[in-house]
Amino acid sequence: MTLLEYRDLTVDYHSPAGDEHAVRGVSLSLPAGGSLGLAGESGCGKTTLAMAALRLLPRTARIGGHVLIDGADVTEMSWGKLRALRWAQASIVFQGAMHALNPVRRIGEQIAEPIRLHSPEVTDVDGRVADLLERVELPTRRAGAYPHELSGGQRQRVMMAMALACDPRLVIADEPTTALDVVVQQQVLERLSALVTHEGIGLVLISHDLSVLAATCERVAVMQHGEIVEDGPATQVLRAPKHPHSKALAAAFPVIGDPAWRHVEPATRDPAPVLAAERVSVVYGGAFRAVDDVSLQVRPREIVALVGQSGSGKTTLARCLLGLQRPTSGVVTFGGQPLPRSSRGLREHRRQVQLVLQDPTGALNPRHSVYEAVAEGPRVHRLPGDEREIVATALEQAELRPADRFTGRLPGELSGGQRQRVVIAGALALGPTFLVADEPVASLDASVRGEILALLLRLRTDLGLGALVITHDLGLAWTIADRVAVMYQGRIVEEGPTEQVLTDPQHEYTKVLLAALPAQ
Amino acid sequence: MTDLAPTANPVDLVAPERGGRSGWVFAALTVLRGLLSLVLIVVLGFFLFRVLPGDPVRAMTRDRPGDPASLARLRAEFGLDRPLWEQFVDHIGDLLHGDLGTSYQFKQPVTDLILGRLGPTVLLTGTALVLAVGIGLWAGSRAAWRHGSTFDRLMTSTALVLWSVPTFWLGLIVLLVFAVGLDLFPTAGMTSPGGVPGFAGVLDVAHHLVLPCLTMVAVVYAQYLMVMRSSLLEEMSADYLTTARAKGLRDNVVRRRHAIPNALLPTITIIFLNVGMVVAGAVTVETVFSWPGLGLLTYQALAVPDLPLLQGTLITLSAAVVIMNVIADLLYRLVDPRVRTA
Amino acid sequence: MSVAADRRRVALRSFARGYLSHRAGVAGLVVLAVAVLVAVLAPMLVPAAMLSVVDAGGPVLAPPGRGGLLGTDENGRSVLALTLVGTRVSLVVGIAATLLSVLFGSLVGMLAAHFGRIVSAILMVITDFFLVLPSLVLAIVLSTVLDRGLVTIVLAIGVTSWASTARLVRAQTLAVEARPYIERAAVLGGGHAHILGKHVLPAVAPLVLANTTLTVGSAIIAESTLSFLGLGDPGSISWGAMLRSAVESGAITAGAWWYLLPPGLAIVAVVLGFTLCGRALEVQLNPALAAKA
Repeated sequence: MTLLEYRDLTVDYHSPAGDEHAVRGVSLSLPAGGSLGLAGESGCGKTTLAMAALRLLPRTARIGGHVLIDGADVTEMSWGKLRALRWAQASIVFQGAMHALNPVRRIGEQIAEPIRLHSPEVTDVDGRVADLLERVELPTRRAGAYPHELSGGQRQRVMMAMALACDPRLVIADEPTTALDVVVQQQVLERLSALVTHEGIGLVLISHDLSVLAATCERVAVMQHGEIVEDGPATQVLRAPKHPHSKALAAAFPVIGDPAWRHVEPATRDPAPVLAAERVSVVYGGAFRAVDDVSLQVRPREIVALVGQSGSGKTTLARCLLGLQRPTSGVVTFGGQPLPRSSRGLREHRRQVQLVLQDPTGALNPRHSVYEAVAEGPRVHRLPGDEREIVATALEQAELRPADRFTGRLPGELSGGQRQRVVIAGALALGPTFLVADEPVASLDASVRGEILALLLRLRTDLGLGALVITHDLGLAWTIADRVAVMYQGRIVEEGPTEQVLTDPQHEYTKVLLAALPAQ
Repeated sequence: MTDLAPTANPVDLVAPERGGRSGWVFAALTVLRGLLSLVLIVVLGFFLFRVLPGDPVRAMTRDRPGDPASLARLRAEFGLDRPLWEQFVDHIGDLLHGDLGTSYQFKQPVTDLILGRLGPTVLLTGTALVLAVGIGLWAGSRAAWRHGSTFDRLMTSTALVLWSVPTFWLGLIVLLVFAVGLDLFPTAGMTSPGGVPGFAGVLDVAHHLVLPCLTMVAVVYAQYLMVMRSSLLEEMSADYLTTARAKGLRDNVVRRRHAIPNALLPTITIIFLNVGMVVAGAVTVETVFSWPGLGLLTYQALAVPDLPLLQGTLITLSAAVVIMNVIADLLYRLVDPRVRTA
Repeated sequence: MSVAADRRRVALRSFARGYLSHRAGVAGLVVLAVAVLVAVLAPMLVPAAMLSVVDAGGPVLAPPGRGGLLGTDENGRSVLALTLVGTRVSLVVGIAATLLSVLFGSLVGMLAAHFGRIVSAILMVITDFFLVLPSLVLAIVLSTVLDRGLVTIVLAIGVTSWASTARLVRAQTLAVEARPYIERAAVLGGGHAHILGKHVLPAVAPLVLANTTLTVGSAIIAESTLSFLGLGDPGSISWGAMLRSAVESGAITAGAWWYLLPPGLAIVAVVLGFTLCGRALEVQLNPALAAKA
């Protein structure tokens, strides 16, 4: 019996600026107890598809076609029947639990709310809530907590408990693990699949991360521009995709240990480090050690990946290396010399070591044109030479060719990948020898990641630029890094050549990180 | 009971370390901040009245120049012939005893004058506030929920116009129309001349209260309406309302149980923080309607100018606003759980 | 940089088009234009003799008709003439006081947000203090202890209204400085002057402009209130002073509505004009507000 069926569904958003076709003729089905993954990049329409199942779309949306849950047509239902169906038959685990939960009501109450609404005959609501919390492995006494008192992973578990509150037949989970630590992500997904399998609930899992879907779902459908471009068994879509878009998505998830995914050849390097941290510690408030006695070296023309989860101290360490943060103890050296302390000295240092930030949208002043953004550095340093030439050269090096097609544009007119190239060009305009890239591709769509990583490699070959890449993504490290350093709670727990660390990890934490990767 | 195998080492189930001041520490700090403000007000008052005018006695008597002997006598009376820091110490000492000096024009202790006029002001501003808050919050939330409707547009335009009207002028027009033109209400004061005993006296006061109260409400309610409206409009786009709808709740339940309580939180603080505006309104309204409160007292003081009395009213009115601010901070922490762990 | 100049021209044109599409904003602009025109032309429209208490020569407190277009005051002067002349003081004081408070407030706000920690703590304690003081009472006190005059009134209003601008600018600066491009500017080697001048100021200025327009409105109301209470410049004619004279000469009991309405309506019109312009500016500069307009 088909639990969920989309029959030629179309969703259009009306606005004074015109119509936006979010979903164009999608047909999918899910059997009872089955699991379906919906993959795609932001804006492809997957969230709209999910919300359409419960008719939760805004008033500006027009629905064509049908959505059937357990045979009943949701698109034609009366409001009364729809309200009864919502949550009792199908529920949603929303993205971004911090905003999807009411910030001023206790989580126990929020879980109890649908129970009281749909099952007024239940007398021991508190008991039901406690049972649900247990099922998602939260301590039952946390029922009195407010959402901001919980961690990200705990909030997701609350969302899961809430979704299961009325024993639905179908659960739709929209990006339930984005913004979560890789380890936490694995545990939350594991719990979700176990619960769903145990109760025989149908699951639709939405994510931009193909590997997550492949590990959790039986089938995966790939969406692009509102249409389904590929639909098949999960492992096949991940490992042997047919459609070009699926291939682009899959390319973002390298198989660690597979030499086909490794784009770097080992080479002998000059052993004298260009940038080094010697026993650097950063201590806040006398007690919290963000960076704990870390020694790290990067050699010329080398790409080192500094891997760790959020809160591991990797960003703090990077800022020390750039001179943006003064370490509490220890020394940062560049070219053998300690970093200057004076502001003039630091400015000189900036010409040698530059930073590429994570979010290219925020990293560019929306009012400044591309030209102004790239020229900013040379202007501040009053570099000699023709400014236009410097800007044009930098843009070409960042592969934005021809340069004058881009100089007049505003960041808002560019794609995410292009913006990141502008940020890189801005760094290159100063002629540095070394780049620090903080999560350079994390905010970009999967299909664009490969290009930016390839650019970093090419910059190494053409300009001799070394790089320290900070990331939580081990796959990225496998693809482009010569060496890997793993950071955990402020300390470097393991370090060495990439092939060695990622295929034969020694430290417990590295092993946990590798094991947490889905679909390896 | 669940019979699923537990996850190996779930890392996110330990309660995150959240620093947070305990409630008592926060309350103490807030009150301390208020006291600091009060101290600063006293210092400012001293500076304004003893230091700034150069010669306060000359400032007070500029409309009535007297011979040097009487001026000297006045100076000695106010202790102005002593060194500045001595005056300051005396001033603080007097304040701690509740002595705000003697009024130049009434020849009575300032403290007595202020206490005598406190009641009428509290009556007028209290009534006006309650009405303004009630009407403003109700109209504001209705306007927001029916964003773009005729009601909404009407409310917003009236609020804009009322914001542009000077309070005193509105009072004058109200007086002109209702008291003089239509002869429905008395033109001045809190009670009829000679006073009225018993319950009829209460009605008499109420009769006198109508016009000044109406004037104050008209100007103040618009502010609360706009704040509540924008606060609720902000909440209406929040994601957790979608969650509430997804659970199957009816629209008006979503509004009543989720949107409005959350929108009320910032509104409450703004109500208290805007007491300064209410005080300004009290000064002008009482002057126009000759309502015997602190506002009228301030007006009477500035006419002379009666510097000790003016200083007394400045300190009293400022202290009232400071106290309101302290209450606002404490109240907000009480009702918004997010602030407790900040 | 011709590219930048072109872009600015295009942006300005689209801004103007957007602004002019809002009727309220246009209405406000028209009112203000009329007010400025009247203020500038007043000495030419109204000969000095009409304003003289002794020489005016009209009937005392006469209603419109017998006493001219808008009637006469207790000295026989034309109310219309007085109202027209009063525009000058109101606009001059309103704008001067606002400039004072906005410049000072913006400086304090930006510095507090940019430098943070001790600088911010000290500045914010002072700012919060001035926010708490009831502004009318403080203005009354200042106007009393200092010599009466236009400068005193401008000072009194300016001193009591800078604090809310400071708060606003501080919040805006904090929001702007939280954006990654500020960190990028610092990484590229920019110092305080570069960051404040090239990034913060252009981002904050538009909203300060909108806030300024709204502030002028409240400054005009403050001036009229202070004049009504008797604290204005004794030699100038202002709308508040006119209303004071009206009350003192018994206009209310005499039912002399022609003396009470014009000055007050003039205040409402001008303040409404500034408010509508300010709101239209805000909506143009912050499109997110358009949804809540």
